[in-house]
Amino acid sequence: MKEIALVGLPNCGKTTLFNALTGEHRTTGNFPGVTVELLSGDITVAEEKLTLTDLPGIYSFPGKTPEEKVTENYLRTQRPDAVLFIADTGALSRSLCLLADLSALGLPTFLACNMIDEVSRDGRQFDAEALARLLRLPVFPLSAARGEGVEKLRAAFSHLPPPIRLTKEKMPAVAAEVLSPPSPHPRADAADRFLLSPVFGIPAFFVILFSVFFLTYRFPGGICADLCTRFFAEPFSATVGQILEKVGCTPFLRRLVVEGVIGGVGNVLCFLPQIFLLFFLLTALEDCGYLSRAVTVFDPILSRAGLSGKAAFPLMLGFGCTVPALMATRTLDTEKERRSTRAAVPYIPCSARCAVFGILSAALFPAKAPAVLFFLYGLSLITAFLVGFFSRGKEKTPLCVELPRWRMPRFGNLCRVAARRSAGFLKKSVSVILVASVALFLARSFDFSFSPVADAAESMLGRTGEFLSPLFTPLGFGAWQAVGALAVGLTAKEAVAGALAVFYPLGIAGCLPPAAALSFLVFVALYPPCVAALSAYRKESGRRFSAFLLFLSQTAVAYLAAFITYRVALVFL
Amino acid sequence: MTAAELKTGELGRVVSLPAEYEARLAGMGLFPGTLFRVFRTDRRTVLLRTDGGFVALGVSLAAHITILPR
Repeated sequence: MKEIALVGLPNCGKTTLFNALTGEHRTTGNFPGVTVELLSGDITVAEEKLTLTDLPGIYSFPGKTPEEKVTENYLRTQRPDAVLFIADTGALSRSLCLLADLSALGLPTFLACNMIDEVSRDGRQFDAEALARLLRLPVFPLSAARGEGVEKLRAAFSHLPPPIRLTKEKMPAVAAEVLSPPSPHPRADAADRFLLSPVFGIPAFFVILFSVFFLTYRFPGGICADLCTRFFAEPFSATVGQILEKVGCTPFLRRLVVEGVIGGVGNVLCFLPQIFLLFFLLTALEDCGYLSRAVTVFDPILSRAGLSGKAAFPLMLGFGCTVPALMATRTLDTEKERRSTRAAVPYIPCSARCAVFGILSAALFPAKAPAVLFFLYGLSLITAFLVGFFSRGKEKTPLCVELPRWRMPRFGNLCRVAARRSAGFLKKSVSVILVASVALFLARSFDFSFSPVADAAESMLGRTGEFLSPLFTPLGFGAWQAVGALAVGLTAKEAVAGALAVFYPLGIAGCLPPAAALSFLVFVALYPPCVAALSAYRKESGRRFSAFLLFLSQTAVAYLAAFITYRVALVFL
Repeated sequence: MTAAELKTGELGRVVSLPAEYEARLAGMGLFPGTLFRVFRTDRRTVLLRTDGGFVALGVSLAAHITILPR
């Protein structure tokens, strides 16, 4: 079976073209470094099966960063039958320089000139035939996002062109001959002047971030979650309880289903509309090209913490989920930068922690919830900054990033990506949290001899929590319920709120005194991430005990911060 | 003269790049001969606009890019 590798600069639309050719729906984005691993898909052309492999984008060949090395090693060792080189037509000269470097491999090459629609919209003239003549290779002008020209390219895969050899020095002149210069973009320039300004850039970032959280947790996201709870979860829970009673289920089984399963998983599922909205808005920020601007704006601040501006990508992804954020550290230039960013990422509050903050601060501090939320976010970010600072390397890598053109995000793509990410959340909720909720319910209902108990304090969980509680008594929350909820949170952060809801059937409000509640929230904000994130951390660091060391260090940091918070809060609250 | 010495709005042409970053900067559209305009500059960051893109550089890196002012 023939194999064709998709190669090109970062953010030139490789994955979009891969999706258009194979019919798959892999993640795309308008910033460099979205693809950090190999993606493969099969297509059939003229009754012949072909494998397409989407490689991480490269700025240079030979490569420098880990994802560039992935591409280089693949091309050198796997030797695909042909290369499909994707050029961003609007930035043709630099694409052709990279193509010239790659031509040293002596592989048959197709040249796809992508984003031809944007070039036409800018009023620029592009002569694909002249380019094919000058380079002596097949050139396909296309728009992968719109699907224009994709079929013609697919049909061409049946005959491989001869290998080429190009001279890099001639490429800028070739590009200038076939593509007219760009016209000015006053509106885009005005947006860049404002968003990249040292005075307005950072406040603008926080306004944008606040708007994302406001839309997610207040209007319309918060209202959707409330409606979901009121008109779906509560009636559903009551109806299931009634049905089980009618069919003659034992009270224990009824409680297991209603309190254990629906109480645990249902509470978290009610946040699904908010999670979808959060992913939708974050994807919109990625797709429009704002993320690279944020990197530039934050570089001066992050460089003080010993991190480069590029660390802003993984740190911002950390607001969604810690696992992809840890994977995105591969796009950083040096191992020292990757290590200090990996150390800081787990302290960024992920969407699950955000949901837990929202639920618990509203329940435990109804009158001061926004202030408590702000405190928790601020504390998490300051801790991430300090961790980055203390784990920084001596050498600093200067900022060197490309800013993509502004693009209008496509509504369909935003919905698709948000739906796929939400489905991942749902899968995790239904699998991990369902198991955790049922296990919790059973651990709360039986003692160590597996005899049912009337008082939950006598149960397995109650006894274990009681055993561990002296450790947490100095932090103010030695109650077995709080300790049990923290333990459950290691499976998935969403489960902390679900566990507390199971442990306190009458409601979480008032279950802890104010100082202890604040200390508990601080511990939740800073203690180790879920098992999936610990596993990703181990994989990315490549060292066997790294996840264990992260677990210990983060627990120590959380413990210290919660202890200080409790002592200070006892004075003021 | 270096790219870090130009002011906002000024034009320059790249003469040479630091060897360690040469390939990477070429991938971003900055290679010897490239004409660029300084979009904005401050004490830490220099934003360069070429006809093929928009590159943000730390001042310490821009100070190693030799240019001819236009």
